[in-house]
Order: sequence, then C-alpha cells, then structure tokens
Amino acid sequence: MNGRLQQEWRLFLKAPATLPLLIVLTVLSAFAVYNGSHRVVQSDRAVAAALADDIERYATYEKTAADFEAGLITEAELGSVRNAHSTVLFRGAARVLIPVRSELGFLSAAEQRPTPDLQRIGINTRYGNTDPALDNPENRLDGPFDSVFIISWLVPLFVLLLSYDVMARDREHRGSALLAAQAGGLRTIIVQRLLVRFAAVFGIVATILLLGTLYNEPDRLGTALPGLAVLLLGLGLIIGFWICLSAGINARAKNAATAGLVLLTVWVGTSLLAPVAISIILNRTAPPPDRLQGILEMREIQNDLNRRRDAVSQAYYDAQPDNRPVRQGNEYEEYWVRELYPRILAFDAAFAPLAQEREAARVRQSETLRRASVVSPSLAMKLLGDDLSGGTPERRQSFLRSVDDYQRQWRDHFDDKLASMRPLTAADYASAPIYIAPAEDKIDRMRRLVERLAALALAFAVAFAWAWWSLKRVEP
Amino acid sequence: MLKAETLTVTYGSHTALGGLDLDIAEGEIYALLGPNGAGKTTTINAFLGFVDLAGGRTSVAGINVQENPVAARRALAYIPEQVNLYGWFSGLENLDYFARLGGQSYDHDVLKRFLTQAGLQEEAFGRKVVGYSKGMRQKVGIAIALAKQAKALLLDEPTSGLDPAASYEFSESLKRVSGQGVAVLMATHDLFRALDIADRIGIMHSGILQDERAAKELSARELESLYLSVARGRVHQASSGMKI
Repeated sequence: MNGRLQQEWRLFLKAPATLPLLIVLTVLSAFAVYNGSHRVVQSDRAVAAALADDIERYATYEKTAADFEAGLITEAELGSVRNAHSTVLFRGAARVLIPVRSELGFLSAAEQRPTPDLQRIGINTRYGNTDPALDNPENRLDGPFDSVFIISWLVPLFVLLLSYDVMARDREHRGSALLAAQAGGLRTIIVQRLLVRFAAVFGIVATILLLGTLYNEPDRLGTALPGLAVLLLGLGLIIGFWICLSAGINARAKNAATAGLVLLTVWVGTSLLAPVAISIILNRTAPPPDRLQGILEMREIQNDLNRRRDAVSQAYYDAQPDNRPVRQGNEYEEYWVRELYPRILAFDAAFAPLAQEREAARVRQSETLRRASVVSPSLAMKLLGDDLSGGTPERRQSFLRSVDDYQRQWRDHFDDKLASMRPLTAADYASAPIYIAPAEDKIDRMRRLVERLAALALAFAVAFAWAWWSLKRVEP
Repeated sequence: MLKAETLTVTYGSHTALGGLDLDIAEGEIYALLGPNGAGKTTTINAFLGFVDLAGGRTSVAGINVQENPVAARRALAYIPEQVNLYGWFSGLENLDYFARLGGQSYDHDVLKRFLTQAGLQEEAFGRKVVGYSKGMRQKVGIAIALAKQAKALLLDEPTSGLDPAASYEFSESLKRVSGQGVAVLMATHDLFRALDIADRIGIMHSGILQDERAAKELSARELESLYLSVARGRVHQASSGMKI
C-alpha cells in the first residue's frame, strides 16, 4: 500500500463516525450469519431425526414381515402390517425425501425456504401444498434478518453512510481547494478515499461470510467455496455500484447534505421502490398460480371422480386385470383399495397437466423477476443470495419433479400388491426403490447465476461510466 | 516565478479577468487588493489551474499551468481564507496528511520543525485541530506550504478574521517564507497588512489591474485613498498613470 493510501486509511479510521459504523456493520453481519447458521443446524437436526425415524419404522416393517415368513409370529399377531395399503398408502408409512442441500444454506434464515426440504412420499397424491410462499415475488422482497438481507439492502446503506461526503464535506467547508492545490488533484483523492471504504466494507462482510462458510460447510468446501466466490463477486459489484455513485455525486455536490440526500433517494428508488414496482407489474402481467383457483380445480377433479367412482375403479381393474383383489378385505380395506386408490391415480393423471401449467407459470414468473432485477442492484443481489442459499422456485420445482419421478417408481413397485391385497413380503421391502436426490442441472444453475451477476455488472458499468465522466470534470 | 500573460477568464457573458498581466519574482510578496468581485480569487484560481481560461496563460517556475497542471501544482502552495483541516487529526497529523498529498514524506521531527517555523506553539502539535483557533489553523496552513517546499505561495484572504496579534504573527511567518526565496501572491482586503509585508501592491477592479505600486512608495493614507478611488470606479490606468 502506498503512503497516500495509508494516509487515507488513517483519515478514514480516525473519523468519528467510522468506527461505530464499522462495528455496527460487523455485529449485524455476524448476527445474520449466526441466524443462518442456527437455521442450518436446526434443519440438519430435523432431517437427521426424520431420517432416523424413517429408517427405524421401515426396518420394523421389514423385520415383522421377515419374522412372519420365518414363522416367528402368527398372522393374528401380524395385524395390519401385513396389509399392503397400511404400509404404502398412508403418509405415516411413506419415505422421507431430502434434496441435496444448497452450498450456502446459512445465507438464509427463512423458515420456509427448503434448504433442505423434507418431502414425505407414498402412494397418496402429493398435490396438497402446491403454492409455497416463495413462489410469490412479493414474499421474496422481504424476509428474516439474514445474510441475504444484509448484503442486498444494508451493505449499500452502510456504503452510503461511509462515503456520501468524501469530498462534498470538504467542498462545503471550502477545504477542497486546499486539497486540489496538492499535486495529485481531487480526482485521485476521491478515488483513493472510496477505495479505502470499498476495502473496509467488503473486507468485513467477506471475512464474516468466509467464516460462516468454514463453520457451516467444513465437509463440503469444494462446492461451498466456489459458491462463496460467486457471492463475493456479486458483493463486490454491488458495493462498487454504490461507490461509483458516491464518486459521481462527490465530484459535483456542493455540500454533504445534498450528496447524502441524492444518494439516499437513489437507494430508496433502486432498493425499495423498484422491487415493489417490479413485483406489482409482475403480479399483473405474469401472476403466480392462484392458490384458490388451484384448490377449486382440485376440488372439481375430485368431485368428478366421486361421481364416476365406480367407472374409475372399473377402468383401473380393466386396465390391470392382474391387480384385482385376491381376497375379500374388511369394509375399511375394501374402501381404500377398491375405491380410493384408483381415484388417487385417476386424480393425479387428471391434475398432472394443470400442475405442469402451474409449474411453468411459476418458472416463467421467476425468470421475469430475475430479468427485471436489472433495474435494481439490491433485488439482483437478493436473488443471487437466494439462489446460493437454495431458496429459489426453480430449485424447488426441480426437487418436486424428482419427487414425482420417485413417486411413480414407488407406485410401480407396490401397485399390484396394494390393489390385489396380496401380503407384502420382506423381499418387497428390501427391493423398494431408493430415492437419490438429483444433482441440480449445472447449466441451468450457471445460467441463473450468470444472469444475476450480469445484472449487477451492468449496473456497476453504468455507475462506473457516470463516475468516470463526473470525475473528469471534478472542480474544487 | 509566478507569471500571468493577458490572462482572460469569463463566466458566461461576464468577464472575470480581462487580459491580466502579472510577473512575481522569487522572494517577492505581491499583494492583490480590490473590492469583492474584482477578480482576485479568480487570478489565484487561474494559477492553480482551477478555471478554464478564455485567453492568455499562467505559469509557475516556467511550467505552463494549463498544459501541465499537476507539475505546476507541485511547485505551488496555497493557503485559502479558511484552512479546512481535519478536526479529528492533530495539527501534526494534518501536516503529515497534506505533506503526503503534496508528494512529500517526513519524519515527525521534521514535521514539528515546520510547525515551529510556522509559529505554532509546541503544546498544540498533538492536540486535535477541532480545538484550534483560526490563527492556529492558518499557521498549520503555512507549515503545509513549508513542507511542500514550494517555489511559490498563493494566499486568498489569509488574515481575514484573525485578531491583530494573530495577523501580525502570520505576517512574520510569511516574511520568513518569502525570505527563503518563495514568490508570494496574496489576495487580501487588509490594506494595513498588505502595506506592512508586500513588496508590490496591485489594485484590481472588474477583472482589470487598475494600478500597481511598490509598497514602499505608499503611505497608509495614500494606499487607502488609491484603493477607495478604484473601488468607487474612479479608475486609474496602470500603464499611463492617467485618471479616467
């Protein structure tokens, strides 16, 4: 570091407002990482408990079946475990599916963001909760106090607080002429002062994020560190954007209050008003699937199936004659197997095109939101952070598609046992399909991240060009 | 050392300087007098390269300011009416900061020597500038100029607002600086102080140098009379000495 930069560091650090602001930024960033880490720990515990419970329950089923086949227990003692529908129909007997956790889950502290997600799957339809809150862009503008919030909204504000008066205050107190009379000129001084502020804010936030990554992802640094690098690139661009705006303003502003007010207005405009305006426009032009409409559509299909229940059941057994029941069940079993199960399958077949349409609407809206974020660096940063923390509709849709695939495999495996009411064997349990969470489509992921970085880079480039132009005309 | 040739500056349709010629030698103190808006500060700004010229040129130690403002500023020191220092720095730290901005780096003993030469009390060196009087700030301004080892010094109303004792001390410091061969151009309203320290005195009005005399040729009363006649529009022409 050359002597001039060193002097600017000293001047910056000794200014009365600097240390309190940097301490507050450090505390808030650390607290946000703590919140996110807490959520990761809680999620990991929930996943571990659900998995342990699932494994234990499934092992019990297998063991009971094996004991029965070995003659260790009688059919009377076996109870309902022998019956296929008890095992595979109810959600309580379904498997727990968990997606691969996003590389930087600790960035988000949201309750509803599925990182990781738990999805219980079985024979039953999963189309019960098809409208998670994160599909609605309005719900994506706010959120808990986490790192995504800090770097998208608060960091720009801290940059403004630390840099709005780097030259405007000198000009206000008629000190800029004395500075300009020194050899380097005002442009160099403004640039050096802003570089110092960039380094301070970026250094603090980046260090805390790095510590958060090392603490939360010690076993997955291979994927977490590249993710962190992408995030830090975005962080650098958004800080750079605001630093450039400060440079442009400070090249002209006659007093600190004017400079502060102009920058604050830009912050309110790009960080608050623009995202809200985008959300309003988006909800009119590309609305998310309407939840009530979805419920009504489901109900309509159910009503139709109820009216045609005999025909639906008949059609199922006509199509799969081998699945006809081999024995007479009790009234309860007869209802589930002969009526409800064919209707579940018929419902999913009828709802699938609607579900696809709704899913396409979500992805469409998400893409539009992402592109619209070009006018709001804060929104672009928020979406980048959301993506790296795992809270994006695309990621959730991808997971749910894999759940659908697995449900089909599960049904194929147990379908004939369930419909025919043949007893399940230990072999049936042992050969049940295993869910393997699919890796995310890398190209799609890269495209999303690059789009968001491009939005930030564009904002930075515009601000940089303006700063360059303004600094060429800087006057004392 | 400081030279202006047919210096012309316009702000829109207003002519701030209309063909000013000025030549200040090494070790000379030149006081520029004139009412508000006469063009004194614009003249200083032209030497600093802060204004675009409509015509003419300025040079410092032979360096054309318009062609090479950075090199010219390296040879210049400037003390404004209010030396705006950083309140959270001490006098010593401010001096260190500005010296480095000017491309010089000194150890603390040397910096203290500059402050002493500028007339600042030693007990004030380490105190935060926020508690300094205006006179003390001006002295730090002189120390900054000394530290820069400039060949020319520009002062814009340097004694404005100073009490007589502080003004006297400042003048003494300035004499010491010029005694080291530094050319000094000082814009001021303080006729008494100008007469006391300047070698030559120029009186401006409406961007034109109306009169120029050697300070030793004038008594205080004569200078006041000359100044008032220029300020009231009874303009002298320096070249012919004719009253118009």
